[in-house]
Amino acid sequence: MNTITDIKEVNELRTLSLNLFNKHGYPTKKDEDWKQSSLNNFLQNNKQLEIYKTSNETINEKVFENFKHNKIIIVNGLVQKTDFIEKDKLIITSIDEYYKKNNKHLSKLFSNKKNQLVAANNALANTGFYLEIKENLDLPIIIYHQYNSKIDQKQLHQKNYILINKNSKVSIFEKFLNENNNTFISINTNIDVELNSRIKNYILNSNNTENCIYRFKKVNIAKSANYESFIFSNIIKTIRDEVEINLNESLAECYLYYTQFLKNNEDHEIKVKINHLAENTQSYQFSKSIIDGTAKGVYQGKIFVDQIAQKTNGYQLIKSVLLSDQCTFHSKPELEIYADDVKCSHGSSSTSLNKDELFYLMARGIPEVQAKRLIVQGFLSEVIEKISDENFKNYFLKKTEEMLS
Amino acid sequence: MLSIEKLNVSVGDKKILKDFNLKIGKGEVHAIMGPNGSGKSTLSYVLAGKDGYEVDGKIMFKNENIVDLEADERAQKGIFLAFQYPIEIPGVFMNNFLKTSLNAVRKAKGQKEVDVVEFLSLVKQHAKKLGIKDEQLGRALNVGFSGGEKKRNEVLQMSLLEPDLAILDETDSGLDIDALKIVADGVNALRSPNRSFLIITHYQRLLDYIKPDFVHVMVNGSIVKTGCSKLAQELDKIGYKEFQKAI
Repeated sequence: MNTITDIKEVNELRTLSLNLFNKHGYPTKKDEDWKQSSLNNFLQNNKQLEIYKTSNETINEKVFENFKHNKIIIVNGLVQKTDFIEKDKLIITSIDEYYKKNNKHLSKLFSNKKNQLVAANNALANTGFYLEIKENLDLPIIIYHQYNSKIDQKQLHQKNYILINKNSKVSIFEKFLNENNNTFISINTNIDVELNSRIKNYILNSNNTENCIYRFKKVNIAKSANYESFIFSNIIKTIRDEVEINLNESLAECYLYYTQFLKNNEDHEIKVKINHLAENTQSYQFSKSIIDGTAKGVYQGKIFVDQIAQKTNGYQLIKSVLLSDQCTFHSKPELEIYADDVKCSHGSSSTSLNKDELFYLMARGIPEVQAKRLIVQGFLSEVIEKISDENFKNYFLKKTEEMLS
Repeated sequence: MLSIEKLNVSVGDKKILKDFNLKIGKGEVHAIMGPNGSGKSTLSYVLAGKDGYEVDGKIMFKNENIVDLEADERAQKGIFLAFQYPIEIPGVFMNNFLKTSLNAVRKAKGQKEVDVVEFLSLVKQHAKKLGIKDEQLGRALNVGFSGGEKKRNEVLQMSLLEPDLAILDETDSGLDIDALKIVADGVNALRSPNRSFLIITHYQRLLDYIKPDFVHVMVNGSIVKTGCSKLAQELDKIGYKEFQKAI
């Protein structure tokens, strides 16, 4: 099997990326986009982490969901096993195989701009997958991302490409299992959502406090296509979820939902950039966070509206509730608008738990701890209720209940 | 049932209730009327156990001083406050909230907790009497409810929890005549020799529907006059000015 380094075009792109990374190095607090990032410290202190080369790995089957779905199991970045009920409707290969067959137009997948970590990923990624959705899927795909102790003290760069062909609909649920320590994991995923297609991408971001994870997604959305994502985060530390979305053609839409519940010394960063690049496009961001202990949450959300993107509709609402005096939440909403006929709004609020709500519930006999739980659950549920896939909506509502009980 | 003795309540330097005394016997219906700012709502909050007040004095409820008890403990012992402005809590759904509340109170009373099936049949039965639609029970607590729907929801909770003492804080405000009648009928249906009521209101209107045994006039943090239900009618004619002057 060819490896990435055998392909000339890929090699050239990797060299360009490496040069870019060498020029700028790892991000520091001086970089505006990384000011509040807790990844900085980890990366500055662990520059010499060895790069891991994936091989045959053991699969942990305990985490498999028991409802019907198409399974993809990825261990330490490499596809180890697939189990598809709807075999004819999708293709999965390693990213190397994809490069081999499509080596003429790869520059799009290697665009870096000024992002050092994406450049590092483009230069160093030696694993990843290509997933193509050929037509409507009736069942969801679950991607089990598993990481084991073989990558302890190492760095792993994974580069993926997901293509949703025109008129196709799919739900992709990504579930992460980290059984490793002190690793830097960088996952860079390009997603193309073609004409009139629709992807619902849900992520369970839970139980990882020992590793530094950077997940970058770049999503290109075509005419009348729709991207919906939801990330559920709790018990996590040093993780940054970043997405850049291009609404390239008219009637392209994206809906981004986030809930996070952080306590102790946990932290999580969300960064969103939405580029409205055509007329009649719509974007919607709704994020709710509960922060406790000495935890820290960050949300940077930017809506960019190009001069030609008239009739844009952009919405952003970021809410957080701080349960302790030592926790923090940094919210940075930004609008950059060059068109004149647009509707864009953003709101951000950080408050403590509403005492009137608490009193109302307690005045109905509900003990304080339980009343707080109800309020927190209700606060987060308001985002989850927006999820359009009923099965996953119920899945995450249940997860929220379990998380708080 | 309830005996308030020398109750003094203040927020910071501001004294709101001054040497306030009130006795409510089992099965009695008392009304407190008074002008804005006389301390009526504070009285209702302090009885229900809201934080943020400096409280001195005794509140004896069923022969126990409840002054140091938390709001949930008071509710579990049988005190119910129907709020003047029921708060909206997004994401907390009516059915879940009502079931949690009912079971918390039942548990405290040593009664068996109800399961989903029992609960739904019970709540539907009570809701129907108050003209509350099933659809409303599936919504978030008070979110998007009209003024009338919120007040009916308060009465629904009261009928489910079956308190020993119900405090109605301006339950008539924001209600049209038809809704007022429905709410009053709901309250009247709950009247029993074992249940007492304290009705706080500005106007006599509500008392046309819920006949009180005693009417108290509250001005500037204290009760200045007590009488029978006729006092409410007098107040409607003469207003509170005369009482305010006397202080």
